[in-house]
Amino acid sequence: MTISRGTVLRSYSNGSLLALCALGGLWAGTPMAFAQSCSGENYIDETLPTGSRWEMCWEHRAQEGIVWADVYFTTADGLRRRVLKEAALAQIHVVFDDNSARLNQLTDTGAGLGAANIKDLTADECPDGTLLTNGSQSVICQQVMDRGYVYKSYNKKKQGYVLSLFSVSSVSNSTYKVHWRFYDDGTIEPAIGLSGHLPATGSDSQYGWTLDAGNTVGVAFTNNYYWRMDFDIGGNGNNDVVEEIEVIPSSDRSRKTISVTQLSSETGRSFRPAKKRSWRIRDASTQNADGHLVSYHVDPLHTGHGYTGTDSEPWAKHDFYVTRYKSCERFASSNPSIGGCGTGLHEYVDGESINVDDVVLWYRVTRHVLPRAEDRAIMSIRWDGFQILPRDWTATNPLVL
Amino acid sequence: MTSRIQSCRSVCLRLSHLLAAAILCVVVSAATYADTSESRTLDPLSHEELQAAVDLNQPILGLRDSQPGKQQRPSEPGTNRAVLHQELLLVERRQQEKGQSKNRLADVYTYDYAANELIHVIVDVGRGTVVHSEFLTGVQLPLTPKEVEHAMQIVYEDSEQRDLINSEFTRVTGRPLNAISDLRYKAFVFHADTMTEGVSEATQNCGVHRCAQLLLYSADNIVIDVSPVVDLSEGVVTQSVIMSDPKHSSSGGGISR
Repeated sequence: MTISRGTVLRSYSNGSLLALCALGGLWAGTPMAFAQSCSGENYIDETLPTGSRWEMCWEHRAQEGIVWADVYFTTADGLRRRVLKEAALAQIHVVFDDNSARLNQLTDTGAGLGAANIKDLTADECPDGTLLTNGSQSVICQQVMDRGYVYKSYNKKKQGYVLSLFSVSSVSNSTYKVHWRFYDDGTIEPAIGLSGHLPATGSDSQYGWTLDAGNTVGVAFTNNYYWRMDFDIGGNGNNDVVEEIEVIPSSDRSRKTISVTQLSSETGRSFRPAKKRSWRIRDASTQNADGHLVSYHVDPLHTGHGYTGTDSEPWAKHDFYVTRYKSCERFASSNPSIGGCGTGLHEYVDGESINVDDVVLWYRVTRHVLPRAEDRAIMSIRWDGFQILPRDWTATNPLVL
Repeated sequence: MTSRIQSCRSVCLRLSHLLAAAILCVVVSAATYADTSESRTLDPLSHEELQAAVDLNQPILGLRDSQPGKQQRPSEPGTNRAVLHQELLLVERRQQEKGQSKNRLADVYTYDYAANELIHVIVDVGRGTVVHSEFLTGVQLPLTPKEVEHAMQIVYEDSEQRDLINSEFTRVTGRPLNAISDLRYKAFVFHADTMTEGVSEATQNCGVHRCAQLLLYSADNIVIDVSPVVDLSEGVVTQSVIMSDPKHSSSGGGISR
């Protein structure tokens, strides 16, 4: 008797086969999972109560802290695609208003967000969650959290869930809670919370805010947070396209028309709230059931604080950069110029094509902190972040089953 | 009887199919396991791999150190401090270009203070070979805890700096500075070109030399407004940035505050 896989598949129901394969899998010492590029605690596979599933790898690195890799989203109805090849914070640039210091906290400061600066989390910091370890340290808290309504319309409603992953790092006297939330509708939310002690005090109130009955001034400062996201949408990571979307008002401002421009070469772009400027990264071939190309949309909603760097900070000229993938381009600024690699975003943008290519997005959120009396003795956490949302990933809302 | 035999044959056939299916699934699963274990390129370096990377790096450092004409670092006179010679800064899994080999590579970075060079060695920890080495100037990776401690020692043993810090410490805390343990400190690599004004002549070397800027706090986290810059390559304080002073009054060329 010749056994072929087809023979078995024809002879037994899927359920029997799955059960057998599960048994076989156990026997072979591996769970039934898609092949991943990582293993053990470095592999996260979470199916949320709504049926959506997130899979990813993570790695602790001395400077970036936690880096996410091979991020896959499976919709509640079972459609699985890769979203990101890699994602992480790519710099925290701190500038004091009095120019007393300008810090690149991932690269210049002792040990960045990882190594000695990443905190060993305890169970009480991760209620109802799981602590993931790097060596002997618990560096990530993994939680599944209720997020309220996914939708509600008349009597149709659904409660949603989010996979929440965070780490905590202390740099200088600031504490950063680095958060990544993966929602059951495919939305990804990178965020960072600033706490700890005010980084500088002085006595000149033109550079800050008087904090006490004396003349102690909390020196104001700006935190520029940069995220690096290497999108590899679908099976092929080398065929992605970036489009800039603007909403253009007519001359009498009564109508607004949509403008979509494909970005053809590496570039830096800035927020334009008046035009609702946003960007989407789409695959060049993978389509949803309606024939639309699948994509993720970066829609800047928190743009109240802006930043224009000094002449010595050319990488800080724009809020959003698109570059062609290079493994050595890891930090928005103060990148080690090893092997001919650029030192920052201004040098990464050197005219290379990003038209149907392997594309990396760099996104900045600027937060100016004007200290308050309430920041003594420890600052309550200040959150900053943004969301990236699926656009045309599916033909309809996959959570409305 | 025939039907019982047929029934038995049927059952036996089904059992044999089940067994065949189970074997097939084991084979498939084992193949998957083998495939994933080979392709687990994103797993962090294990303790053994880290040690192998450090071991493979050693001969490169030795070779560099014994080069003819290599200047040895002078000792730091009048102190008990050990002279910084070479410092292992960082070992991490190498991020490779996509589609390149799946070999387990590590980047090893060491700083040589006498030559003011960052020594970068790429090693294949799986095969036990050195893939590449290079020697770079002007490239500064983050400080190690040992370097931070060393920089603080240099500051504290500098009487001019100690007086300045003591004065500031007393001003903000209302008590004198009795020992280095009264201070908390953090430090970051300092590049002269990140400051637009008030950089002393000695500090201008920072970037090519390996320098640290220290941030000082009292034990109860009150910021001390003096922020010394230490040239670790020379073992001296080059300047003290006075926080909240827009002109960055400095010492090392004369204290002014």
